[in-house]
Amino acid sequence: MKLRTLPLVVTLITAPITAFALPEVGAMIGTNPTDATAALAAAGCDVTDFEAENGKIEAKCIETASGELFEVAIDPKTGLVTNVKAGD
Amino acid sequence: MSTRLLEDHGQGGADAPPALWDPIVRISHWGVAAIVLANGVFNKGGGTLHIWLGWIGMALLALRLIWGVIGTPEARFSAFPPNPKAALSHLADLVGGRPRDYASHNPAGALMVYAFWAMLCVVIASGLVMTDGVSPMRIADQQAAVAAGDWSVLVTEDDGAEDGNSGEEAGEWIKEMHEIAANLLLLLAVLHVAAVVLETRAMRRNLVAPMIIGRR
Repeated sequence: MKLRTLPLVVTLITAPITAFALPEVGAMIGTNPTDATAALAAAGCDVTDFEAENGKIEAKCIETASGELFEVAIDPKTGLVTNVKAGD
Repeated sequence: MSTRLLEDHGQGGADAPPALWDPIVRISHWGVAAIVLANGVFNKGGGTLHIWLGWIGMALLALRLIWGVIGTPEARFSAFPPNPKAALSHLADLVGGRPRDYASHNPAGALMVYAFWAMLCVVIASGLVMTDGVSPMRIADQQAAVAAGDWSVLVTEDDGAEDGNSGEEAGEWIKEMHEIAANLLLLLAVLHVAAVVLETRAMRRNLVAPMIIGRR
């Protein structure tokens, strides 16, 4: 493989991952289920449920790329992500 | 020890554990056992049922602690003071096949009781911090509102005070503490059951019956 084509190959391989990265802590998701569902879907995670837990909203979503369940904690006042972890 | 004395006082005598523990001891024992098992193994942390059971457990613990001051003689703290040296001595007696009788919990059992209550206090206190001390009824209302799409019920006046990483880190730390203490509770429960089985065999006496309906 020529060295000049290497960046293109790397870009093509990692594109699905970088295009659908889960939101990071501090990312704006929204303060209502409609906005949050859309934001998480755009990040590649399909929401299955929202629950109240310890004063935060816990969005359960399935990452489309891996099929893995994630729990995304959202501050209901600011709409910011406060925690992201793999689901139980 | 006469049968009449056993019937009159419901005890095995001055140096024997009760033939039937009093109702407060039995209710708090089995109630807390059921709640620890249910919340530690079967239901979802943070859910309405989990929090309801946690509050019931807190009430049972409070009842038992008050009973430790004003209750029956064998239920009082003074009947089973924490004494590690005596506990080791009791375990040595047990291994040697000549365990002694005690009017209340034996010294090893007493240490287990105090360890269990201490861990229960940690679990309950951390649970209260995690839920801001919100009542189970209000938690249920919040869950229902969020399920219906209304997130505003979780927004409170003082929300700004804990915003930021430090609040989040503290929350995670409390959650870790809650889970570790809950797991330790389950471990203590397993040790307790194992000790009851061992002591029942060593003393050739059913230790479970007095905690249910009494020895027959």
